[in-house]
Amino acid sequence: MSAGGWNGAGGATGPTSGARIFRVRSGTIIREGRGPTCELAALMVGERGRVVRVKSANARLLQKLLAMAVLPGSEVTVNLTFPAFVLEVGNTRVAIDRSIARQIEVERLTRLDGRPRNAGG
Amino acid sequence: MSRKAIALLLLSGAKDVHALVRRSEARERYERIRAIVESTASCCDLPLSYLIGIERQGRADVIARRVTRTAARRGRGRSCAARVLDFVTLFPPTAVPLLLLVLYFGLYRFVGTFGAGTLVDFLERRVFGEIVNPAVNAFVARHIASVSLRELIAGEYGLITLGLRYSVAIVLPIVGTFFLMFSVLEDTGYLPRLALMADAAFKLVGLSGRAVIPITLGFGCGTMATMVTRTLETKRERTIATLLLALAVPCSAQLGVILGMLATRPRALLLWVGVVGGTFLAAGYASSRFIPGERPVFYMEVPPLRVPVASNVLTKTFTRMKWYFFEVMPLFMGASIVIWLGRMTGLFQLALRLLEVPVRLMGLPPEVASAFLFGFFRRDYGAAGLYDLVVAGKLTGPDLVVACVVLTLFVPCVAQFAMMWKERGWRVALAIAGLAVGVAFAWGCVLNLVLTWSGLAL
Repeated sequence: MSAGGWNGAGGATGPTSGARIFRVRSGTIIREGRGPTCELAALMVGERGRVVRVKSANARLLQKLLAMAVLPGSEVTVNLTFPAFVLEVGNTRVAIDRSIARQIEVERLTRLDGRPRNAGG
Repeated sequence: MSRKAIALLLLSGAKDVHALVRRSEARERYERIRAIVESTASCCDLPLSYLIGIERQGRADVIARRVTRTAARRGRGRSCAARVLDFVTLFPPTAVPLLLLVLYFGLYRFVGTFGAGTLVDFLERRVFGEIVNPAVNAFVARHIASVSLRELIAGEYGLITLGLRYSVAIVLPIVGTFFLMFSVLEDTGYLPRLALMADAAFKLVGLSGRAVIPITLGFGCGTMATMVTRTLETKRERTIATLLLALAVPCSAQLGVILGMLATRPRALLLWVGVVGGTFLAAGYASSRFIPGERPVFYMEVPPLRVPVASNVLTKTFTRMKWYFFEVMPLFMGASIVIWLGRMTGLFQLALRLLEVPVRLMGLPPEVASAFLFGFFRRDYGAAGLYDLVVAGKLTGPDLVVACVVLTLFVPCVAQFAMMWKERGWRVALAIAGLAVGVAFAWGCVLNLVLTWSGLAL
């Protein structure tokens, strides 16, 4: 396992360039340079995103998110944004507050109208 | 355990495994291992335990994909009722009123009124007051000659007549009803939704949504609520919740008598609610700013809603009651011994005389001092003491508001104090108790001055 640099540290809410993140041998971690990323908190209800990384140094929080399957590579659908964020991750659903949602960088998989990003029109 | 597993645990920073390796390997060898762990960690921007976890998860996913297959869900899986309920419990305009209803009926009415009221009344007055206590008192009077030994076992504050009565007749019904309700909420999957809805409000006082359970429970029994603060994530949150419970959350015993006294004076009641509520918010806000530590974060898995299975709920309730009972019973027994010592050594009289000083400063009759002192040993004794003074016509409207505010904010009952000591350590327990006394007396003096100066009729 090797760890790469964490460049392109996502700014506030604006999309940043795709970040290169560490790769692991099983290859399940997102490939580098996929597309624009943003904070999970910027997604709206019904939008989908793929987690690129969690910008936190809090080991306990990272472990908790890992246990709830919110880890680089997982796809999330936003069910609720207030009073907290409710996400669908695979077959589970997790609630996180806005401060955590702002630390999760995602690649947006849907456009603002909720359609897949690569759909025409 | 395989060497690989041990190596992974060492890299993850598992303290137990580090201790084990330190014990079983030569010192030099362990130092080399530690240096390898440290240099590996320094290469990564994320904790090694996290990276290992991700790798493990990735491999598990690969295996899972190879050996499992997902069948298409018929009728989109969930029933219509389940989807409606899911929506109702998550969509704020319907979820917030539902939350208030659950807190009111589930916790306040079922635990507070039925558990702490009806059941406690029956067990305490009928079973202990009419059967157990008279029998114990008669037995002791007949067979024990020493007065001090008699007082230790029986009488008003004895081990059986106070300690056992308190733990069996007062605590057990509250704990039982609470754990029953808690298990139902847990097994339906509603609990995380409740915490989720309350999160934004609790952030104002430095807590996360998880704190909704201990704080609401505090209106039933502060001792148990203080114990339930264990469920909070960080030490800081546990300290803030313990402080708020001790300072500004009146328990059901107190609430009943105070509301009874103030019900006929709406303006006095409003003032009491305003001062206690304001103190709660101010104390929460101030402690969230000044108590060091991580800011609260909220994360929870939201399971699907399910119909609870009765046998699971009952088994869980029984196991928790047993566990709680054996943890709290010794505290009440200890309280009986403290009261006995206080009475035998004359310390009570001294404390009463000391308490009369601030009581006079607050413009209250000196008899109120004994209500405060006994309020520490049992919160409702304090309120009941005030009630007697009101009936005797010794307290005016403003006096009553001052006394009720001070009694609510004053140190919690002895069992809650002991629980604070047990859960948070003696320093925090003493600091919180000291703060509560200071805030209570300061409010008493200020209210007395303002009410006397303004001449407000209450």
